[in-house]
Amino acid sequence: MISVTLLGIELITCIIFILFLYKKYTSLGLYIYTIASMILTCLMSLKTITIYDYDLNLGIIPFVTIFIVSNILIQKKGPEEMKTHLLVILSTTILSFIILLLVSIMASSKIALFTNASYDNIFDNSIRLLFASIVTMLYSLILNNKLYFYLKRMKNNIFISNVFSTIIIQFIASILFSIIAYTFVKDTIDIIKLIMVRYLLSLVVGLIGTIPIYITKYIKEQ
Amino acid sequence: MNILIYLCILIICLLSLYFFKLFLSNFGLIITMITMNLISLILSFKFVTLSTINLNANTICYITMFTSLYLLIETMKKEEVKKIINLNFFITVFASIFLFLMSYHTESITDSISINMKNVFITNYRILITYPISTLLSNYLLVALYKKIKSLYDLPFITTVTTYLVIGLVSNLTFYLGAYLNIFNIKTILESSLSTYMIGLILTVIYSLILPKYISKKVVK
Repeated sequence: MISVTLLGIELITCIIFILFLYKKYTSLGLYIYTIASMILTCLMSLKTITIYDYDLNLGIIPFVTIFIVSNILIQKKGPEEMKTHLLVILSTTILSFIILLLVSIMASSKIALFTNASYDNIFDNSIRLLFASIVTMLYSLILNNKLYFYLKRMKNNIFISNVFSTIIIQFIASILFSIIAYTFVKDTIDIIKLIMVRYLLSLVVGLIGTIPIYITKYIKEQ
Repeated sequence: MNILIYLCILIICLLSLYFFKLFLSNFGLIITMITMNLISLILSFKFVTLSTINLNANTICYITMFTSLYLLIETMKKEEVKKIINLNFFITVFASIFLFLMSYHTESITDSISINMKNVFITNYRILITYPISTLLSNYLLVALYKKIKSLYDLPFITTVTTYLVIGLVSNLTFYLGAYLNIFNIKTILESSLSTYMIGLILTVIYSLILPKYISKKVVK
Protein backbone atom coordinates (compact mmCIF):
# COMPACT_ATOMS: atom_id res chain seq x y z
CA MET A 1 0.00 0.00 0.00
CA ILE A 2 2.92 2.32 0.83
CA SER A 3 4.36 1.69 -2.64
CA VAL A 4 1.06 2.63 -4.33
CA THR A 5 0.89 5.84 -2.27
CA LEU A 6 4.48 6.70 -3.16
CA LEU A 7 3.79 6.04 -6.84
CA GLY A 8 0.80 8.41 -6.54
CA ILE A 9 3.04 11.08 -5.00
CA GLU A 10 5.58 10.54 -7.81
CA LEU A 11 2.85 11.00 -10.44
CA ILE A 12 1.49 14.18 -8.86
CA THR A 13 5.04 15.58 -8.51
CA CYS A 14 5.74 14.84 -12.18
CA ILE A 15 2.52 16.47 -13.41
CA ILE A 16 3.09 19.56 -11.24
CA PHE A 17 6.67 19.90 -12.55
CA ILE A 18 5.62 19.42 -16.20
CA LEU A 19 2.98 22.14 -15.93
CA PHE A 20 5.20 24.45 -13.90
CA LEU A 21 8.20 24.10 -16.22
CA TYR A 22 6.03 24.52 -19.31
CA LYS A 23 4.39 27.63 -17.92
CA LYS A 24 7.71 29.22 -16.92
CA TYR A 25 10.08 27.98 -19.63
CA THR A 26 7.83 26.58 -22.42
CA SER A 27 9.56 23.93 -24.58
CA LEU A 28 12.99 24.46 -22.92
CA GLY A 29 11.44 23.44 -19.61
CA LEU A 30 10.00 20.30 -21.20
CA TYR A 31 13.36 19.36 -22.73
CA ILE A 32 15.08 19.74 -19.37
CA TYR A 33 12.31 17.77 -17.66
CA THR A 34 12.86 14.95 -20.17
CA ILE A 35 16.61 14.84 -19.47
CA ALA A 36 16.05 14.65 -15.70
CA SER A 37 13.29 12.06 -16.06
CA MET A 38 15.36 9.85 -18.33
CA ILE A 39 18.33 9.82 -15.94
CA LEU A 40 15.98 9.08 -13.04
CA THR A 41 14.13 6.37 -15.00
CA CYS A 42 17.37 4.51 -15.70
CA LEU A 43 18.55 4.82 -12.11
CA MET A 44 15.19 3.87 -10.60
CA SER A 45 14.75 0.86 -12.90
CA LEU A 46 17.57 -0.85 -10.99
CA LYS A 47 15.24 -1.28 -8.01
CA THR A 48 12.24 -3.63 -7.89
CA ILE A 49 9.19 -3.21 -5.68
CA THR A 50 6.15 -5.38 -5.00
CA ILE A 51 2.63 -4.18 -5.80
CA TYR A 52 -0.21 -6.51 -4.82
CA ASP A 53 2.17 -9.53 -4.89
CA TYR A 54 3.60 -8.64 -8.29
CA ASP A 55 7.22 -7.54 -8.79
CA LEU A 56 7.81 -4.39 -10.78
CA ASN A 57 10.79 -2.19 -11.67
CA LEU A 58 10.61 1.36 -10.35
CA GLY A 59 10.96 4.35 -12.63
CA ILE A 60 7.75 3.72 -14.51
CA ILE A 61 6.22 7.09 -13.57
CA PRO A 62 9.05 9.29 -14.97
CA PHE A 63 9.25 6.86 -17.92
CA VAL A 64 5.61 7.33 -18.96
CA THR A 65 5.65 11.07 -18.27
CA ILE A 66 8.38 11.41 -20.93
CA PHE A 67 5.77 10.22 -23.45
CA ILE A 68 3.32 12.81 -22.12
CA VAL A 69 5.97 15.52 -22.56
CA SER A 70 6.72 14.21 -26.03
CA ASN A 71 3.02 14.40 -26.94
CA ILE A 72 2.85 17.98 -25.66
CA LEU A 73 5.85 18.87 -27.84
CA ILE A 74 4.25 17.26 -30.92
CA GLN A 75 1.00 19.06 -30.16
CA LYS A 76 2.78 22.42 -29.87
CA LYS A 77 5.76 22.20 -32.21
CA GLY A 78 5.10 19.39 -34.68
CA PRO A 79 7.07 16.24 -35.52
CA GLU A 80 10.22 18.06 -36.77
CA GLU A 81 11.06 19.07 -33.21
CA MET A 82 11.13 15.42 -32.13
CA LYS A 83 14.42 14.64 -33.88
CA THR A 84 16.23 17.11 -31.63
CA HIS A 85 14.27 15.79 -28.67
CA LEU A 86 15.37 12.20 -29.34
CA LEU A 87 18.96 13.23 -29.99
CA VAL A 88 19.10 15.18 -26.73
CA ILE A 89 17.64 12.27 -24.74
CA LEU A 90 20.04 9.76 -26.27
CA SER A 91 23.19 11.86 -25.89
CA THR A 92 22.53 13.08 -22.35
CA THR A 93 21.53 9.63 -21.05
CA ILE A 94 24.56 7.91 -22.54
CA LEU A 95 26.84 10.70 -21.28
CA SER A 96 25.38 10.49 -17.78
CA PHE A 97 25.67 6.76 -17.41
CA ILE A 98 29.17 6.55 -18.86
CA ILE A 99 30.31 9.02 -16.19
CA LEU A 100 28.31 7.36 -13.40
CA LEU A 101 29.65 3.90 -14.29
CA LEU A 102 33.23 5.18 -14.62
CA VAL A 103 33.05 6.76 -11.17
CA SER A 104 31.61 3.55 -9.70
CA ILE A 105 34.76 1.65 -10.74
CA MET A 106 37.08 4.26 -9.21
CA ALA A 107 38.71 3.25 -5.92
CA SER A 108 36.88 4.94 -3.06
CA SER A 109 38.33 7.20 -0.43
CA LYS A 110 38.47 6.19 3.23
CA ILE A 111 36.11 9.05 4.05
CA ALA A 112 32.50 7.78 4.18
CA LEU A 113 33.63 4.26 3.35
CA PHE A 114 30.20 2.73 3.94
CA THR A 115 28.39 5.16 1.61
CA ASN A 116 31.10 4.77 -1.04
CA ALA A 117 30.77 0.97 -1.00
CA SER A 118 26.97 1.21 -1.22
CA TYR A 119 27.26 3.65 -4.14
CA ASP A 120 29.49 1.20 -6.03
CA ASN A 121 27.08 -1.69 -5.33
CA ILE A 122 24.17 0.21 -6.90
CA PHE A 123 25.93 0.12 -10.27
CA ASP A 124 27.20 -3.47 -9.99
CA ASN A 125 25.68 -5.61 -12.78
CA SER A 126 23.45 -2.72 -13.81
CA ILE A 127 24.47 -2.44 -17.47
CA ARG A 128 21.77 -4.78 -18.79
CA LEU A 129 18.96 -2.93 -17.01
CA LEU A 130 20.33 0.46 -18.08
CA PHE A 131 20.61 -0.77 -21.66
CA ALA A 132 17.03 -2.10 -21.52
CA SER A 133 15.72 1.24 -20.24
CA ILE A 134 17.53 3.30 -22.89
CA VAL A 135 16.64 1.04 -25.85
CA THR A 136 13.00 0.72 -24.73
CA MET A 137 12.67 4.46 -24.31
CA LEU A 138 14.18 5.36 -27.68
CA TYR A 139 12.40 2.70 -29.72
CA SER A 140 8.99 3.30 -28.16
CA LEU A 141 9.41 7.08 -28.31
CA ILE A 142 10.12 6.94 -32.05
CA LEU A 143 7.00 4.79 -32.55
CA ASN A 144 4.96 7.01 -30.24
CA ASN A 145 5.91 10.16 -32.15
CA LYS A 146 4.89 8.63 -35.45
CA LEU A 147 1.64 7.19 -34.11
CA TYR A 148 0.63 10.30 -32.17
CA PHE A 149 1.26 12.54 -35.16
CA TYR A 150 -0.64 10.15 -37.46
CA LEU A 151 -3.64 10.10 -35.09
CA LYS A 152 -3.45 13.89 -34.70
CA ARG A 153 -3.57 14.29 -38.48
CA MET A 154 -6.44 11.80 -38.82
CA LYS A 155 -8.57 13.29 -36.07
CA ASN A 156 -7.31 16.39 -34.32
CA ASN A 157 -8.44 15.31 -30.86
CA ILE A 158 -5.99 15.22 -27.93
CA PHE A 159 -7.97 12.58 -26.03
CA ILE A 160 -8.13 10.12 -28.94
CA SER A 161 -4.50 10.64 -29.98
CA ASN A 162 -3.18 10.23 -26.44
CA VAL A 163 -5.37 7.28 -25.44
CA PHE A 164 -4.73 5.22 -28.57
CA SER A 165 -1.01 5.94 -28.67
CA THR A 166 -0.72 5.07 -24.95
CA ILE A 167 -2.61 1.78 -25.35
CA ILE A 168 -0.39 0.58 -28.19
CA ILE A 169 2.99 2.08 -27.32
CA GLN A 170 3.01 1.21 -23.62
CA PHE A 171 2.26 -2.42 -24.50
CA ILE A 172 5.24 -2.52 -26.86
CA ALA A 173 7.43 -0.73 -24.30
CA SER A 174 6.47 -3.16 -21.51
CA ILE A 175 7.25 -6.19 -23.65
CA LEU A 176 10.52 -4.74 -24.91
CA PHE A 177 11.82 -3.73 -21.49
CA SER A 178 10.91 -7.02 -19.82
CA ILE A 179 12.42 -9.14 -22.59
CA ILE A 180 15.69 -7.19 -22.84
CA ALA A 181 16.11 -6.93 -19.08
CA TYR A 182 15.02 -10.38 -17.91
CA THR A 183 15.34 -13.03 -20.65
CA PHE A 184 17.34 -15.98 -19.23
CA VAL A 185 17.22 -14.31 -15.81
CA LYS A 186 13.57 -14.85 -14.84
CA ASP A 187 11.07 -17.59 -15.72
CA THR A 188 8.77 -16.98 -18.67
CA ILE A 189 5.72 -16.79 -16.40
CA ASP A 190 7.42 -14.14 -14.24
CA ILE A 191 8.30 -12.12 -17.34
CA ILE A 192 4.67 -12.30 -18.51
CA LYS A 193 3.47 -11.16 -15.07
CA LEU A 194 5.97 -8.28 -15.16
CA ILE A 195 4.75 -7.24 -18.62
CA MET A 196 1.12 -7.26 -17.46
CA VAL A 197 1.69 -5.24 -14.28
CA ARG A 198 4.00 -2.80 -16.04
CA TYR A 199 1.49 -2.34 -18.85
CA LEU A 200 -1.45 -1.76 -16.50
CA LEU A 201 0.43 0.85 -14.48
CA SER A 202 1.75 2.58 -17.63
CA LEU A 203 -1.77 2.65 -19.02
CA VAL A 204 -3.16 4.35 -15.92
CA VAL A 205 -0.33 6.92 -15.88
CA GLY A 206 -0.59 7.50 -19.64
CA LEU A 207 -4.34 8.07 -19.45
CA ILE A 208 -3.98 10.50 -16.53
CA GLY A 209 -1.36 12.21 -18.70
CA THR A 210 -4.14 13.45 -20.98
CA ILE A 211 -4.97 16.07 -18.32
CA PRO A 212 -1.61 17.96 -18.53
CA ILE A 213 -1.74 17.78 -22.34
CA TYR A 214 -5.17 19.46 -22.24
CA ILE A 215 -4.02 22.03 -19.69
CA THR A 216 -0.94 23.01 -21.73
CA LYS A 217 -3.28 23.70 -24.64
CA TYR A 218 -4.55 26.70 -22.69
CA ILE A 219 -1.13 27.93 -21.56
CA LYS A 220 0.08 30.53 -24.01
CA GLU A 221 3.76 30.50 -24.99
CA GLN A 222 5.60 33.75 -24.25
CA MET B 1 44.12 3.77 -12.23
CA ASN B 2 41.93 6.44 -10.55
CA ILE B 3 43.90 9.23 -12.24
CA LEU B 4 43.40 7.57 -15.63
CA ILE B 5 39.64 7.26 -15.12
CA TYR B 6 39.52 10.86 -13.91
CA LEU B 7 41.32 11.98 -17.06
CA CYS B 8 38.85 9.97 -19.16
CA ILE B 9 35.92 11.70 -17.43
CA LEU B 10 37.57 15.08 -18.01
CA ILE B 11 37.98 14.35 -21.73
CA ILE B 12 34.35 13.15 -21.98
CA CYS B 13 33.13 16.34 -20.28
CA LEU B 14 35.30 18.57 -22.50
CA LEU B 15 34.08 16.83 -25.64
CA SER B 16 30.44 16.89 -24.62
CA LEU B 17 30.65 20.62 -23.88
CA TYR B 18 32.36 21.18 -27.23
CA PHE B 19 29.88 19.18 -29.32
CA PHE B 20 26.76 20.45 -27.57
CA LYS B 21 27.97 24.04 -28.12
CA LEU B 22 28.93 23.26 -31.70
CA PHE B 23 25.62 21.70 -32.74
CA LEU B 24 23.05 23.34 -30.48
CA SER B 25 24.67 26.66 -29.52
CA ASN B 26 23.17 28.23 -26.35
CA PHE B 27 20.55 25.51 -26.10
CA GLY B 28 23.38 22.96 -26.06
CA LEU B 29 25.14 24.88 -23.29
CA ILE B 30 21.96 24.89 -21.19
CA ILE B 31 21.59 21.14 -21.74
CA THR B 32 25.23 20.54 -20.78
CA MET B 33 24.89 22.69 -17.69
CA ILE B 34 21.79 20.93 -16.42
CA THR B 35 22.94 17.41 -17.32
CA MET B 36 26.27 18.01 -15.55
CA ASN B 37 24.39 19.37 -12.55
CA LEU B 38 22.22 16.24 -12.36
CA ILE B 39 25.22 13.90 -12.68
CA SER B 40 27.00 16.03 -10.10
CA LEU B 41 24.11 15.61 -7.66
CA ILE B 42 24.28 11.80 -7.92
CA LEU B 43 28.09 11.76 -7.74
CA SER B 44 28.22 14.07 -4.73
CA PHE B 45 27.54 11.06 -2.48
CA LYS B 46 30.87 9.43 -3.29
CA PHE B 47 34.43 10.31 -2.27
CA VAL B 48 37.37 9.16 -4.38
CA THR B 49 41.12 9.38 -4.01
CA LEU B 50 43.56 10.86 -6.49
CA SER B 51 46.97 9.64 -5.39
CA THR B 52 46.70 10.67 -1.71
CA ILE B 53 44.09 13.41 -2.10
CA ASN B 54 40.50 12.72 -0.97
CA LEU B 55 37.90 14.60 -2.97
CA ASN B 56 34.27 14.53 -3.95
CA ALA B 57 33.63 12.51 -7.11
CA ASN B 58 31.52 15.26 -8.67
CA THR B 59 34.33 17.84 -9.07
CA ILE B 60 34.79 17.54 -12.86
CA CYS B 61 31.06 17.67 -13.59
CA TYR B 62 30.61 20.58 -11.20
CA ILE B 63 33.38 22.56 -12.90
CA THR B 64 31.95 21.69 -16.34
CA MET B 65 28.62 23.11 -15.13
CA PHE B 66 30.39 26.35 -14.12
CA THR B 67 32.17 26.50 -17.50
CA SER B 68 28.84 26.18 -19.36
CA LEU B 69 27.57 29.02 -17.21
CA TYR B 70 30.60 31.21 -18.07
CA LEU B 71 29.89 30.57 -21.75
CA LEU B 72 26.20 31.36 -21.29
CA ILE B 73 27.04 34.66 -19.57
CA GLU B 74 29.20 35.57 -22.58
CA THR B 75 26.31 35.14 -25.01
CA MET B 76 23.12 35.80 -23.04
CA LYS B 77 21.61 38.65 -21.05
CA LYS B 78 21.97 38.61 -17.26
CA GLU B 79 18.20 38.14 -16.70
CA GLU B 80 18.09 35.19 -19.09
CA VAL B 81 21.05 33.55 -17.34
CA LYS B 82 19.31 34.01 -13.99
CA LYS B 83 16.24 32.29 -15.42
CA ILE B 84 18.43 29.34 -16.47
CA ILE B 85 19.97 29.21 -12.98
CA ASN B 86 16.48 29.03 -11.49
CA LEU B 87 15.58 26.24 -13.93
CA ASN B 88 18.73 24.42 -12.85
CA PHE B 89 17.63 24.75 -9.23
CA PHE B 90 14.08 23.52 -9.87
CA ILE B 91 15.29 20.46 -11.74
CA THR B 92 17.78 19.63 -8.96
CA VAL B 93 14.96 19.82 -6.43
CA PHE B 94 12.87 17.53 -8.67
CA ALA B 95 15.72 15.01 -8.90
CA SER B 96 16.35 15.19 -5.14
CA ILE B 97 12.68 14.46 -4.40
CA PHE B 98 12.78 11.44 -6.71
CA LEU B 99 16.07 10.10 -5.33
CA PHE B 100 14.55 10.23 -1.85
CA LEU B 101 11.23 8.66 -2.92
CA MET B 102 13.09 5.96 -4.88
CA SER B 103 15.02 4.89 -1.81
CA TYR B 104 11.94 5.09 0.42
CA HIS B 105 9.94 2.48 -1.57
CA THR B 106 9.65 -0.93 0.11
CA GLU B 107 11.70 -3.31 -2.00
CA SER B 108 10.63 -6.73 -3.32
CA ILE B 109 12.05 -9.89 -1.76
CA THR B 110 14.35 -10.52 -4.72
CA ASP B 111 15.78 -6.97 -4.75
CA SER B 112 19.40 -6.56 -3.63
CA ILE B 113 20.06 -2.96 -4.64
CA SER B 114 17.50 -1.26 -2.40
CA ILE B 115 19.63 -1.54 0.75
CA ASN B 116 22.48 0.24 -1.06
CA MET B 117 20.14 2.98 -2.26
CA LYS B 118 18.95 3.49 1.33
CA ASN B 119 22.55 3.67 2.54
CA VAL B 120 23.39 6.28 -0.06
CA PHE B 121 20.32 8.46 -0.44
CA ILE B 122 18.43 8.12 2.85
CA THR B 123 21.40 8.02 5.24
CA ASN B 124 22.88 11.08 3.50
CA TYR B 125 19.56 12.90 3.04
CA ARG B 126 21.28 16.15 4.05
CA ILE B 127 23.16 16.16 0.74
CA LEU B 128 19.80 16.14 -1.09
CA ILE B 129 18.91 19.38 0.71
CA THR B 130 22.33 21.05 0.79
CA TYR B 131 23.36 20.37 -2.81
CA PRO B 132 20.55 22.36 -4.55
CA ILE B 133 21.01 25.27 -2.12
CA SER B 134 24.81 25.47 -2.48
CA THR B 135 24.53 25.19 -6.28
CA LEU B 136 21.93 27.96 -6.46
CA LEU B 137 24.02 30.18 -4.21
CA SER B 138 27.26 29.61 -6.14
CA ASN B 139 25.57 30.09 -9.53
CA TYR B 140 24.09 33.45 -8.52
CA LEU B 141 27.41 34.52 -7.04
CA LEU B 142 29.16 33.41 -10.22
CA VAL B 143 26.98 35.62 -12.43
CA ALA B 144 27.47 38.66 -10.21
CA LEU B 145 31.25 38.20 -9.82
CA TYR B 146 31.98 37.23 -13.43
CA LYS B 147 30.30 40.40 -14.73
CA LYS B 148 32.16 42.58 -12.20
CA ILE B 149 35.59 41.05 -12.89
CA LYS B 150 34.97 41.12 -16.63
CA SER B 151 34.36 44.86 -16.48
CA LEU B 152 37.78 45.23 -14.85
CA TYR B 153 39.85 42.70 -16.86
CA ASP B 154 38.33 41.44 -20.09
CA LEU B 155 40.42 38.27 -20.32
CA PRO B 156 38.62 34.88 -20.12
CA PHE B 157 41.49 33.24 -18.21
CA ILE B 158 41.68 35.89 -15.48
CA THR B 159 37.90 36.28 -15.19
CA THR B 160 37.12 32.58 -14.84
CA VAL B 161 39.98 31.72 -12.50
CA THR B 162 39.38 34.73 -10.24
CA THR B 163 35.65 34.01 -10.16
CA TYR B 164 36.32 30.39 -9.21
CA LEU B 165 38.67 31.44 -6.39
CA VAL B 166 35.65 32.96 -4.64
CA ILE B 167 32.70 30.82 -5.73
CA GLY B 168 34.60 27.55 -5.36
CA LEU B 169 35.34 28.36 -1.75
CA VAL B 170 31.78 29.45 -1.01
CA SER B 171 30.13 26.45 -2.71
CA ASN B 172 32.51 23.88 -1.20
CA LEU B 173 32.24 25.24 2.32
CA THR B 174 28.44 25.56 2.11
CA PHE B 175 28.10 22.06 0.74
CA TYR B 176 30.52 20.33 3.12
CA LEU B 177 29.34 22.13 6.24
CA GLY B 178 25.67 21.61 5.37
CA ALA B 179 26.09 17.96 4.43
CA TYR B 180 28.67 16.68 6.91
CA LEU B 181 28.67 18.92 10.02
CA ASN B 182 28.30 16.67 13.11
CA ILE B 183 28.86 13.61 10.89
CA PHE B 184 32.59 14.06 10.25
CA ASN B 185 34.92 16.09 12.44
CA ILE B 186 35.76 19.65 11.39
CA LYS B 187 39.31 18.68 10.37
CA THR B 188 38.07 16.07 7.87
CA ILE B 189 35.44 18.48 6.51
CA LEU B 190 38.00 21.25 5.99
CA GLU B 191 40.58 18.90 4.50
CA SER B 192 38.22 17.31 1.99
CA SER B 193 36.57 20.62 1.04
CA LEU B 194 39.95 22.27 0.47
CA SER B 195 41.27 19.37 -1.60
CA THR B 196 38.08 19.40 -3.72
CA TYR B 197 38.54 23.17 -4.05
CA MET B 198 42.19 22.80 -5.18
CA ILE B 199 41.41 20.14 -7.79
CA GLY B 200 38.51 22.34 -8.93
CA LEU B 201 40.95 25.20 -9.34
CA ILE B 202 43.25 23.09 -11.53
CA LEU B 203 40.28 22.01 -13.65
CA THR B 204 39.13 25.63 -13.97
CA VAL B 205 42.60 26.59 -15.22
CA ILE B 206 42.44 23.81 -17.83
CA TYR B 207 38.96 24.90 -18.93
CA SER B 208 40.00 28.57 -18.98
CA LEU B 209 42.83 27.83 -21.40
CA ILE B 210 40.39 26.17 -23.79
CA LEU B 211 37.54 28.63 -23.21
CA PRO B 212 38.50 31.18 -25.93
CA LYS B 213 38.33 28.37 -28.52
CA TYR B 214 34.83 27.43 -27.33
CA ILE B 215 33.68 31.05 -27.53
CA SER B 216 35.01 31.57 -31.06
CA LYS B 217 33.48 28.33 -32.44
CA LYS B 218 30.59 28.88 -34.84
CA VAL B 219 27.45 26.75 -34.70
CA VAL B 220 27.09 23.97 -37.30
CA LYS B 221 23.67 23.89 -38.92
